[in-house]
Amino acid sequence: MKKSFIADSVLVSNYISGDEKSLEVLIKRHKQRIYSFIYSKVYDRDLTEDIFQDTFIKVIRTLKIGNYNEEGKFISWVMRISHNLVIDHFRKNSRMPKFENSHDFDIFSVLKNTDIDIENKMIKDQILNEVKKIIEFLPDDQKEVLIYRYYNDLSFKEISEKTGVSINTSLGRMRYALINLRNIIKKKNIVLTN
Amino acid sequence: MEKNYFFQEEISLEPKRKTINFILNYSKSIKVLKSKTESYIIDLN
Repeated sequence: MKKSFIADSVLVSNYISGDEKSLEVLIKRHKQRIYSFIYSKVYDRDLTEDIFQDTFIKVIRTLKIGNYNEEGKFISWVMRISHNLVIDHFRKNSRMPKFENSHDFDIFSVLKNTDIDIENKMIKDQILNEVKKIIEFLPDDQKEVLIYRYYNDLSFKEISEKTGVSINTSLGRMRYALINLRNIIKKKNIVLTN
Repeated sequence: MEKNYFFQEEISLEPKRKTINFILNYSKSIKVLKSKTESYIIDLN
């Protein structure tokens, strides 16, 4: 009998509703891709196991607490979490990964991983979309300064001329815009690092 | 037997079974408590 394919979004929804088996299906479906992705960054099996585990602990907590938005693909979201954990690891250890010359052949040292490039682009696009959505929560005067500065690349002098307020007021609005953005990101538990 | 210098041990790039079991057990061991304003996770282990 042919097994029917259940979409990730359905499995996620079933899991949130209490079906633990759905999590197992999701892990089995994506384990290789996520594991390879982490390994390609850290080149260490034990560390990869740890980061893989921490990734899914974060996934579980976010799903169970109800903070997951089914806007992007589940796999992209999980990859982003694992990517952030890899970055956290290197930040904690204050070093970047380096290729250790050993007798083992390392495929990642000679092959360009296009899957990861595509993944990174998807992550970047998703982050940009999320930032645009968050900006919409800002008060109009702060939103205006931020868009002029970051999207239209105007100087604060030009912004003050356009908006009819002083440069100091524009700078102040930008400061509050950034503070508010940080607060929204923290409150909504959004991970934006690429 | 002739030594094959091009032989590479095949490495399976996937997590160990015990890592997956740990994740699945973790998922079963936590409980979410929801108040009107916030949700909390309680680890039952």
